[in-house]
Amino acid sequence: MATPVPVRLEAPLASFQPDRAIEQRRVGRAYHLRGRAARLALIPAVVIMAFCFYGSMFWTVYISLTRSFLLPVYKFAGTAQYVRLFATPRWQVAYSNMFIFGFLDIIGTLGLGILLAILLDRSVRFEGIFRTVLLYPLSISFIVTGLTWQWILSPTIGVQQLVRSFGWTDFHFNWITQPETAIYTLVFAGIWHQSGLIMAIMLAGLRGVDREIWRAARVEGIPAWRTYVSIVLPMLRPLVVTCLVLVAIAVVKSYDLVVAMTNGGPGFASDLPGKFVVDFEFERANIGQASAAATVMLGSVLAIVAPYLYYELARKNR
Amino acid sequence: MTTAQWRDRVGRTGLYTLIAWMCLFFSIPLLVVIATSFKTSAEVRTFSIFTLPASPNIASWIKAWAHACTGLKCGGIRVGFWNSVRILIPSVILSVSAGAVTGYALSHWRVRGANIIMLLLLLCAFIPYQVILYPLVKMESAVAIYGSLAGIIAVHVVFGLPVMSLLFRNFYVGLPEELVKAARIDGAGFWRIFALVILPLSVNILIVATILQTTGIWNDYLLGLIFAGRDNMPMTVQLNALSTTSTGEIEYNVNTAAALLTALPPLLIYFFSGRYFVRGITAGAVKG
Amino acid sequence: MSRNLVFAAAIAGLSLSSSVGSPQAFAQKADVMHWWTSGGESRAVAVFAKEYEKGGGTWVDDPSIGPQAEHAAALNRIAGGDPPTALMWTTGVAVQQLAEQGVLRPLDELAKQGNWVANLPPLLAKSITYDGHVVAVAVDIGGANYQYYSVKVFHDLNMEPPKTWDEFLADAPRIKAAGYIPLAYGANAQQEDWLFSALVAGVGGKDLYRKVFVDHDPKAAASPEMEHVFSAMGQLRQYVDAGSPNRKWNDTLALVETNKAALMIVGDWATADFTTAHLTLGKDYGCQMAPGNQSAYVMTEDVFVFPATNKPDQIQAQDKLAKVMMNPAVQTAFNRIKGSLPARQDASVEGLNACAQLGTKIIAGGPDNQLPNFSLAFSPDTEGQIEDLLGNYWATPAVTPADAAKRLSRILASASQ
Repeated sequence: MATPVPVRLEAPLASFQPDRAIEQRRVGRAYHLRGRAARLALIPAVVIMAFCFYGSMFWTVYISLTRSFLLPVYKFAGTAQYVRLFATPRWQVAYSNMFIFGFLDIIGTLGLGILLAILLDRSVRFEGIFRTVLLYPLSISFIVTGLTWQWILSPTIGVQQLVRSFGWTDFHFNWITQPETAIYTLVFAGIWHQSGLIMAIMLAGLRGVDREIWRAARVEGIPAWRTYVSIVLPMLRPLVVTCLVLVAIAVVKSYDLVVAMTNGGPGFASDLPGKFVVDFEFERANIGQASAAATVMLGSVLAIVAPYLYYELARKNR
Repeated sequence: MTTAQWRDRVGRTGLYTLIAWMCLFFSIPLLVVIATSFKTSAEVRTFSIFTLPASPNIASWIKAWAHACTGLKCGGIRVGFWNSVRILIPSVILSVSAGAVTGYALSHWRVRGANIIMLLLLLCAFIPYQVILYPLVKMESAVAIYGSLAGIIAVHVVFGLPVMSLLFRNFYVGLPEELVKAARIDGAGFWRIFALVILPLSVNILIVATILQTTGIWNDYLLGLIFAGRDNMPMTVQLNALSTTSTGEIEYNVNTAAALLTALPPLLIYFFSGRYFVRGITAGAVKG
Repeated sequence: MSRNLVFAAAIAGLSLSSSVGSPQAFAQKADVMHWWTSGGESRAVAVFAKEYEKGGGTWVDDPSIGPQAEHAAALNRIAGGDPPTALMWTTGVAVQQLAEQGVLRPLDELAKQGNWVANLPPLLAKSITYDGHVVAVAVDIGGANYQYYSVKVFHDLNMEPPKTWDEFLADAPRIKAAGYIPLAYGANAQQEDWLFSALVAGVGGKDLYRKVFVDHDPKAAASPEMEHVFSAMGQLRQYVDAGSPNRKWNDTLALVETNKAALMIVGDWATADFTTAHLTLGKDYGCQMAPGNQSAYVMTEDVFVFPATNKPDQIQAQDKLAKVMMNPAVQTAFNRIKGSLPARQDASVEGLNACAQLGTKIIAGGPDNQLPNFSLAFSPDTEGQIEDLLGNYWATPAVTPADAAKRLSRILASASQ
């Protein structure tokens, strides 16, 4: 259900005063051309999509069926790469990590982002400063901030050591060095990195909500939090979906994050498919394995994401 | 004070406290980075990352900007600065425009399969770009733009298209149909409506898109390293070269100073466009 | 197979002629890609550049962000028809892979003129040859199996740095009890390689080392001796500090520099780090071969390769570069700054890194003492698999030495290179 958008019909149209008689004929032709112009305008996008993306993906899948190491070798070799891939312990860990990390990161980033947006929506002062502080993680290279997080989370030079130096000698916080918990430290850094962006987008959406809604809710006696949860946020559903997509994309492509913080360690306990693929692509000079891993990773993600996104996109179209 | 006012006052204080704590959590890494950049090498070595520098010294900032060595050139990251700018401006303008036009075409026009096209385009955003570098290189060299400024700009436009299109498409779908219909009846065509009706209402989303693209393109290094050609290396290449050496000394104070310098342009853009950014999506509500 | 090289040169020529975007070709302009970006490394590269520019010609420096980025950039530039004049490459099997793809220019004429092969240790000579052709130049050698130790820690405890691993395992509890970290170690792939090499050679012996690293013998990998090696490695877990996971090697070395740790297994490039920290050899720190490694030298090298081209000015530039880099006197000057040893055995070692000079005596002891490091021994893919295994083993005490040995054996059995 669309809420009336505060619309300001701009002056430009007012200056456009055509002759009505000629208009009828022009309208007829315009109707016919209408779809055409749009389709023409879409050609660059479709061409780019077809060649650069799908063409390249097709090439990647083909390479995953060969024994290519350093450079492409176009000799078909069956599913050997996939057989090896699924027998590799490191891949099994990385693959399952993607879902663990993805789930937590998406929920955490969206949750924190929306919460922050709501907090800032309550008309606080110094909003500019708060917003900049919350947005800056996005602007600094992760190579450096990831290393900083590594230092902060390190048991010997970071938080654990700091708290212990204050007297709490039993304090433990060595998640980053333990195989079972290292992946969760990535969640920390991931949330930290993107919630500012989500906050900014959601805040803008909240600001666009008609103040009438708020007045009406107050009149009905509905508490503020309830208004957010049951009325306002559902109205902003498509925006939330956009945010979800942005975070999901970041999860799938995670590379800098892993490298800078744990480098996949200890061992390969915090590895993610994005890093797995890049490692095999470059460091290990085995593009056959890299392509197989990329294909499996993307296949799984798209199988989940595509139906959901189509549903959401179709909803919006009237 | 009435109970209501008191409750309100407590609520406000609680609100500010919560936000302040959040900001503190967010800024800790930044504070560590800043502190490190002002330390001397000896201080960095002592490993107390939370201690403030004894006396802030800007030697590492100067070194990062002008003297740090990456290979033979000891010109710091200043070397790549203008290259980064030359790559950034056309790339942002072109990728945002491409996204805007595509989003517009997919929202208000009768194009068969518009949803499918949007979906297919969006799915491209999930592909990790490292895997498709090789075919892209081949494509670019086939049209003779590989290793040039045009080459790196083209790559940034290609990779920005999916998300930009989604952003604009979702925004435009939220604009009421009556607007475009009225313009059609008046005889305006595709491009005229775009220029006279849509664009004026898009200021908001344009700023969002610009910020997203600026951040992504400014901080990119791998694409720049591979597609830009020797003469156009962005400053992020120097930054990463400084920070990443496998058997040489690592000077953390210089690295952090270099990282902060590199982050300055996007940060400044956030800070100054911040007001428009929020007011941006506000007046036109990125709703659907 | 050498037809490949010629064929490749032709293809490269075709793609080069269709490329656009390279600046005007000055005679003898050399575009060199490498990943030496730290202060010391940069100064060392300057030696080559200066020598090259002496006879006219310009050196265009193209440093990259570490080996992977350099590989990616270089390969893509070659694919895109704009190859550099020369590029640094990961030594060993990786060079063979490049040559196999027909991407490299054979340097046989120059090798004969400069008498390269006779003056390089056999391991290195093998590493730069593919199918009978010389395809790379070797500029330096490093030893990866040293121990650098804190003089103060051993002095306080009235102990000598360990000569065998058994000795170290016996001493370690005392060191730990006194409040020091027995072994400075940062668990990342690089340091895992160094530690494992030193253990195989020190606990298992040079023969076992060769069987695994050179012959890739799966039976040797599953043998009781190898289990013994893994067992020793496992026992070392308790003698490192809590901050060890994923800590860079220089941060780890800092523990020795600040006398918090007793020793570290690292290569001779560590000397430069001590020097930068204003510490003196003999007084503040000491260096010797790793425990059990007294007659073993685990060799690493740096090599440059030259992409195939048929542009005459590029070929001239490549010739000159190769001659400069393989010149004995230039190698000595280069290594004086870089801190490693010249690859050429007929180059003088005067004035070089004192710790590195320990290595010359061992190398002089004959090919039996010269062991390949991970890069020289395995393809990047196999090396990666072994590193995954080592990292997982180190981080997961539940994996037994027998398990680890079996897994290593499986990797070697299925490794094609």
